[in-house]
Amino acid sequence: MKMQRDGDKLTVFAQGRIDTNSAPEFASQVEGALDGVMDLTFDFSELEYISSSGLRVLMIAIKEMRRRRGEVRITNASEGVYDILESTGFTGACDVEMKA
Amino acid sequence: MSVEKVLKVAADTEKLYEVQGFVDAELEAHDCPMKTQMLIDVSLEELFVNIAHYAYPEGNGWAEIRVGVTDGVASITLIDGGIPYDPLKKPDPDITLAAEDRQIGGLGIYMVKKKMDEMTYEHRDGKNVLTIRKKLC
Repeated sequence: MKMQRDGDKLTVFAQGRIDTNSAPEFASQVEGALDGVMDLTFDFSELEYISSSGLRVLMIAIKEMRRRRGEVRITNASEGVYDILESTGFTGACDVEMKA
Repeated sequence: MSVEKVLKVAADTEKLYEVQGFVDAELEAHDCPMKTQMLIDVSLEELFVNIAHYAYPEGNGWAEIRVGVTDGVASITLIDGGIPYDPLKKPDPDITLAAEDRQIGGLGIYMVKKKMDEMTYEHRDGKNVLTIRKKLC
């Protein structure tokens, strides 16, 4: 996973799989980088797979950004990942953009 | 009709990739589209991890996975000998709430119910028997 910080903007580039075994590491890296962030983007262009353990991390981050009155969005989701995000209500919880 | 294949593993999250690899091989042999395979893999994770985390409070449990494809429909059954648990009885989360009011978890089984064409549970001979079905298109 890569991250890019620019002022109060943070982009998280998730890669590969976020599953029950990798989600704790994903969670601690995201949580550890949120200090002072007011604009958060999850770039999913290299994400192939996400299960409910990863959705949990996303929901925590979205709630935290709402609490701060900051911005949060998900970009470049593959068709399959978008399908999962849509059917679990993430497309209603924040902006979610499918890969072009 | 294809022959049903069977895998028995320890109910441990470390076995997740073995379980998914076993099912994927059968799906690939039937030209399952990538997106469908991913949705089945995610569903399989939710169900297998549930067994690994909750079915055996004392540890040392097992899970059996059966997979078969008939007339373009994949059928996957997970069997365990742990405490009786019907995931279909779990109430659905309210996903229409604003993010502030939503609960953070509880999406796993809900996702399986939404993305699979069919999901059935029965408690048979002291075992939990859970089957999901999905058309491969």
